[in-house]
Amino acid sequence: MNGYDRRQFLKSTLLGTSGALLSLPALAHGESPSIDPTKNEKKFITRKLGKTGIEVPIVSFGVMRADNPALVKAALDAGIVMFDTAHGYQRGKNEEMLGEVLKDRPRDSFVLATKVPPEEMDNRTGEVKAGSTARAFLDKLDISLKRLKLDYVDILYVHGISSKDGALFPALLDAVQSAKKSGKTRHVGLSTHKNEPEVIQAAIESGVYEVVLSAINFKQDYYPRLKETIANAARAGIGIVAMKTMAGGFHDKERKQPINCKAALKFVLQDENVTTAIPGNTNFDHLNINMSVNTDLKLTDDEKGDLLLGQTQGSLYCQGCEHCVPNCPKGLPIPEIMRAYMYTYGYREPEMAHSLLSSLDLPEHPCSDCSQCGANCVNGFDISDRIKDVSRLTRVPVEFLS
Amino acid sequence: MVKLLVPLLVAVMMVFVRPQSASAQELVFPRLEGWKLSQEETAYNPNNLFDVIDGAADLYLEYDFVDLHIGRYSRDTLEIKVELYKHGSAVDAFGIFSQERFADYHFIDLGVQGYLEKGALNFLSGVFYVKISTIQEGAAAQQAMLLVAKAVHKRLQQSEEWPAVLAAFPAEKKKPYSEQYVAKNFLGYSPLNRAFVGSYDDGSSFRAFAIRSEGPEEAKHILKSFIEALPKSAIKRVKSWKQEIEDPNNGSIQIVLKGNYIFGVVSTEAGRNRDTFLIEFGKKLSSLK
Repeated sequence: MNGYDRRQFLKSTLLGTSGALLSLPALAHGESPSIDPTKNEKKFITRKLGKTGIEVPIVSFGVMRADNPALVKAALDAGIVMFDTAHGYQRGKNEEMLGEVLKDRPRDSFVLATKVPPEEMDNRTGEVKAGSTARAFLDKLDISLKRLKLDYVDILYVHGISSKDGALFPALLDAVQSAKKSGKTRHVGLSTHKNEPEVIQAAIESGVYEVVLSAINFKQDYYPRLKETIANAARAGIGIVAMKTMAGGFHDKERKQPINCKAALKFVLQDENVTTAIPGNTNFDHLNINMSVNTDLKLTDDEKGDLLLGQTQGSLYCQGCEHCVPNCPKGLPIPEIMRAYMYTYGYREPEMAHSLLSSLDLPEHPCSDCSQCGANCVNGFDISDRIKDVSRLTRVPVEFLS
Repeated sequence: MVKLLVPLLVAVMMVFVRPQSASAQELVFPRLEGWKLSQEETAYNPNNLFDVIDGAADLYLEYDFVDLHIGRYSRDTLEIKVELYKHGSAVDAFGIFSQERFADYHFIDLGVQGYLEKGALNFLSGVFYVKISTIQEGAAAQQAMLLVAKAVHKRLQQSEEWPAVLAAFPAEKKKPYSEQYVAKNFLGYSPLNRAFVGSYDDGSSFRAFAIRSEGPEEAKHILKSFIEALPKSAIKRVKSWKQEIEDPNNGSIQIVLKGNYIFGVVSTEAGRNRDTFLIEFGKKLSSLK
């Protein structure tokens, strides 16, 4: 690190570029401490889920794996109320495990949400294909109920919607309304992790969905627009549940710099329009950390600093979407070069950048023949400027970089 | 000297450090006569796997997911979808495969292990977990999946062996198809990783597990960390060769440290003596290379 502390470097040089997190409110309002689990001295902060009438602690449980029912039992005992699963998780093992754990619990002591996907959907575009039927959707719900050993779920989501058309797909609207009418679910909603503002707006317009489960996190560059749409949804009586609050868990593509998950969770829950979040608890340590947010939402200065670090790194982080690549006449490996740029200015690891650049077999002056760069970045990176900047490293002997 | 060394260093790096991003070229789905094949041009990676399988992606990432290629075979009204999940090692691929496998599936002789269910044929082959599916029903659709599966399997050309540690699990009373590999947080405790697990029924159900460490010192450290991570209310009894733990979260745990291994049994039923089992298990683990 050449005597630099990475975090200190980022704070000192990039602090001025991002002030949004510093102006966070200390605590959200509108919360009510109504649940008082016997094993917790402090009362949980709870919020109401739109017009559903459901009131739950602000931290719930996204059940991501089926091999440890003990974690779910511990969460129930600790006072977590809402559990989220999906028809497709571990080919149904996840729902089966939950069914086993929940069968001995009073039905009104937990809120169970599951997600059923449309019959056919395009992975890339999110388009729900024309052949998708309400019948197939409802058949899957029946299978889920059997696995869960329940007569009904509390929330039934249409899983993974990423467009307005998907949200308003007639067969899906028919299916969820039919499920509710038949008593197989108390409430209906949809989940979304792409184009969230568009999908949430469509959910409002549908007049059908009562709950939206949305990816919400501090790294979304469209977070202000998302927050505004969430507020619109809340005004329309739609309950909002947050997922992916940890933004993938790492700051970097190499998954070596973990995000402060507690800070990230608190950040999302600062918005009072978000009723609850469903972090995955992979071990008892995580569970305890997440549970602590149920009683204390205040972001510490260190936590704010960690979030800021993540935001500033986001401005260096290439998503690797490769939209820019076809427009480069030289066919340069732009995402890799952007990664080298992040190594240099984000990680302060010029040797890593040098190593990566050297392996790419770049021309000595990669952009010299182009008067204007046709490669546009969807995140607004000045691609040619960054390439010119970082490619200079290849002309520096590596010994000088250590 | 520097002038001489730098080009040499760069040249060496160009040969040996070139990024291995060519799996799209390595893994083209095989063509089948009479079938139209369409393959998604780019593979999914750990950063966008969520786009395909949503929240299920988190678990795949725990098993060192590398990339995912998707192809579709179509003929007349039939469409067969193939998802090719590549993981960092054969053990990781086995791990995620084992997390999604039910013991009562209809198992078929394909790859390391495979099964054919209504609308789905999944199999494990080396570092690949292959998932084949169709929404069409009927015998023709099932046969078509089998046809595609065999062709894909042939194309992969993987070495196909069970993880060696599983051979040490005593065979008697072991439930068929119950073997698992848990990459992280076995029993919900962060010190317990890379655990092989098998389920048994000797009148009551229990699970056996084994964790192989890099050496005896690391094994000691793992065990110590695990003991420290237990809740305060856990009851611990140290015997001469094993530890007995009543864990409020998981039930009764009997755990043994032997060489590079930490192994034991977990049961919701307290107090049952399984020394004979543990002794046999320990011997078999010690005999592994």
